[in-house]
Amino acid sequence: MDRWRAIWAAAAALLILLLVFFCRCVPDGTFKHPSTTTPEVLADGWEIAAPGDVGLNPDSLDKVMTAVSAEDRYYNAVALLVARQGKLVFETYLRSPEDRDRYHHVVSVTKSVTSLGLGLAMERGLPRNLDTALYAYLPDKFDADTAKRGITVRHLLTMRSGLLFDNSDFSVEMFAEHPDDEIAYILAKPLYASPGDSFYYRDCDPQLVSCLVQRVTGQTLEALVRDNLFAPLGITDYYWEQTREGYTSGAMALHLRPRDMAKLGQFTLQRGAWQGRQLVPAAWIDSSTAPQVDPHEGAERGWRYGFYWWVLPRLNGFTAWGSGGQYILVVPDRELVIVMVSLPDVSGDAGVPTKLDDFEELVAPIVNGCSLRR
Amino acid sequence: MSGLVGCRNRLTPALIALALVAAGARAEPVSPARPNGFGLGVVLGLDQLRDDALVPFRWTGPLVGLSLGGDFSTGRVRHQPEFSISVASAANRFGQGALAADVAAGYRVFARPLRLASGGLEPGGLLFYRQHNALLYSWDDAHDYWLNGFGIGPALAWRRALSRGATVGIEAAGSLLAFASRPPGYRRNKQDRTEQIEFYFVDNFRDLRVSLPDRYQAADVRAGLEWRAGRGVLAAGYRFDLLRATWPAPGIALLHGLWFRWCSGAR
Repeated sequence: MDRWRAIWAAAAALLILLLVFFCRCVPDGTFKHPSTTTPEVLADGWEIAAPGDVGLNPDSLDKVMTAVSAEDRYYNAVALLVARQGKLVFETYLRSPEDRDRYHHVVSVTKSVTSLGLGLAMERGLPRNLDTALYAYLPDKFDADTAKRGITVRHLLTMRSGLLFDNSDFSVEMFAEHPDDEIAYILAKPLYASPGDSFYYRDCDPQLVSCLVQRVTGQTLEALVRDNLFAPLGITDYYWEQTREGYTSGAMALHLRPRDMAKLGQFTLQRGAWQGRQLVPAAWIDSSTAPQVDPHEGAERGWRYGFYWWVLPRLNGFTAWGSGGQYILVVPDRELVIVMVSLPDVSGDAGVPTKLDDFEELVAPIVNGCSLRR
Repeated sequence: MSGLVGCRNRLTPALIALALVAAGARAEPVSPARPNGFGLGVVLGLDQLRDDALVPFRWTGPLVGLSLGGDFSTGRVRHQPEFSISVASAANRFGQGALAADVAAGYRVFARPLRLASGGLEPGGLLFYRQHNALLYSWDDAHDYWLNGFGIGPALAWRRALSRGATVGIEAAGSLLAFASRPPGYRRNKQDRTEQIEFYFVDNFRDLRVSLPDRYQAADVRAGLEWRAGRGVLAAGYRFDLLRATWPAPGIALLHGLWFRWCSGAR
């Protein structure tokens, strides 16, 4: 009996030891390895300056750098860039310096680029105006529900088509299940409200804008933007996903490099002009970045929604906003552009995403640390 | 990441063997009681995983698993088919969650024991299929992270009878040549088709690479006691499973815990 007791005791002790020994043997790591913050001079069109040279308080940048470098805040932040007066003054890559030269999925920042693309199309005369019914351009894609014929371009730009197509369903159905006729498939979704009545943030509305642009211009949204916006801005290394039918994804799936995102911000700050050429009408930029609709989100902060841009009264600016923490913030009266890139596919739990209110808090010292435009 | 499961862990089989040998050192050499029939087992333990293809955090959490299989002896060869499945709910140091599922199917064969003074040593081989899928949903709720493979490798068992009814033993097996699959380093697709069953059997194995242990490792060690219970054999012990791959960035899953098994027959 004594021998058995000894065996059992030894075995039990060994098991406990093994469990303790192995329970932490996969080493834990860190996500953030911040790079320097001084932008490198590259042949990409960006002029580099020191923050002090453009009236930006370096202390405010240090404060933001400390905050964004913390492991337990802004968890998934990958890059932060600041440009003022057309010059890049701050650039840090939190995960790897290589992220500077990679393109990143900017998720719903894509919608803001789609908005610029529609501005390009309208500059070419089509669609004629925002209150034109979508039915006028795509009559063959509508089903028998005549109420849907009241959907206008403006409704699509302000997320008020009334179509009931949740974003999670949209991603699966459009990019995994591949419906035969994508436009008809979207338009076959039932109405949950009359067109124009209710804001409901969805991917299907900007996707219809992309389809509309293709139908009226004969070019994909990507081709239109590539030739008339990206090329003049020197944006060449990007990826923009298409649906199986060949429509550019209007709501997400554009991949951009951080510096190119900053160029888009600077372009918008310059009201559609670039190196002396007016690429997108200034009036279109003004309309798209002005409050158009109440998004029922951020009410305490006064957020409003333009044509696929979020308007932020506290910062007196507007931003493109992609899931996870992708931002192109433009503050015109401070001549300021701030770009943030994050890992995109995070869920809402455990505070991982850098949400818009977090971003507002993060960059407020930078915005407040520079003088108003004279 | 190169230090993942470093030298400490390479000592594991030796540590276990030494401890068990020490535990049974004074046992009389008698014929071991061997399981011989269908088996049903459970494992309770911990799953640790880390996938640098996303973030280099360690996720740790409780694991529960079931196994179905058997232990059949025919002449000079012992056959050990097994199918097991386990699930784990894990979190990193910030409390951010993940789910993991592990499916394994294996077939081991062991040759007749070589009699040694301290027990019987059984050389053998392993045919395995291994699928470890993790959803690190706090950080990436759109994609699956997997460490999958199938292949062959060596196996080795050591047993020693403690009495007419009880046996102490240790088994170890590992991949030598595997066809292994990992997710792409950069996925442009908005989300994986995780709701569709073919995703796990088609997409998960789309980019198979022929791998030696320097690129992909699937290994396990089981140590424990077996004793006769009626017409069958009960077993309990410690189980350690390791999956590791080096591309597109290092990834590792380490499952370990207590296992219990009942086998329907004995000889």
